Amino acid sequence: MIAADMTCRELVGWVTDYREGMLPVYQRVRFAAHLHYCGSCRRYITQMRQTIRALALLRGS
Amino acid sequence: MLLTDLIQAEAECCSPAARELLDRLCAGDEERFRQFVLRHGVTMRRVAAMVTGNSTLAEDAVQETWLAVMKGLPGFAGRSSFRTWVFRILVNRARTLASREWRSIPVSQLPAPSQAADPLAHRFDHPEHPGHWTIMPLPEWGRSPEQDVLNGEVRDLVAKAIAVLPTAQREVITLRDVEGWPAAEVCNVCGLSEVHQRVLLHRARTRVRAALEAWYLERRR
Repeated sequence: MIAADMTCRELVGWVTDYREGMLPVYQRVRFAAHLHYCGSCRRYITQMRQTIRALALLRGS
Repeated sequence: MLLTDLIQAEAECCSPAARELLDRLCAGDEERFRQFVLRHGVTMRRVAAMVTGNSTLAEDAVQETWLAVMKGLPGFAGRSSFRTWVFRILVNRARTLASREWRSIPVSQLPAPSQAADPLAHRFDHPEHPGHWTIMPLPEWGRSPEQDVLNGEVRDLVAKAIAVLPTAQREVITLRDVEGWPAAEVCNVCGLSEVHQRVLLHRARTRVRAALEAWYLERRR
């Protein structure tokens, strides 16, 4: 059965694990599949990336 | 009637190729799935826009269709072609949306930002698809936050957002994301397990992102 039905709420909870490479294979597939069709979650991921980059720019300030 | 013509024109018979795709989707072949979504998305959007007369609703219809497809895929009996089945769902969703004018709640209806432990509470109370976005992430943060930081605009905001975090979260996000230290070193320095460190980082980032979103939202009001 396809790794379907990851909800947006679930995905948001997995974001950090995903970035750290800590998602189990099964969850990683579900995560990536969800992003293929969910524009809202793609936007969230982008915003998280932007947030982290903004934090890095505080370095040394 | 024009729509059924369109669907039939695009429908494939349940050919061996279609059946193979279906089997691969059911087997979790992600790349095939991705290609399928890409290939059909344009047409789906066009059909949905035709039904709803509205590109925003069309986008909603397409997204909700994929949700329904994911849910219904194990039960798909193959009586029609796969494409026909998908587009039938799409047309029904589009019609429902057009008639009901259900719209995702705009971010402007969010309550004033607070330091809630879970800034995303109540963002996923979709009436039909529990767990999916109701109040979606604010679109177009505009110029990227990096540029704003360089201009000094967002610097104070992000610093403030970090400052009001619980201590442990503040420590981890400062060392990991501001200072750029690797996870193992932060664990050693802070006396944390790897899992605990990651949980703290996750919560801290979620809050800082929420603070940024609220800030962009305020600027629009």
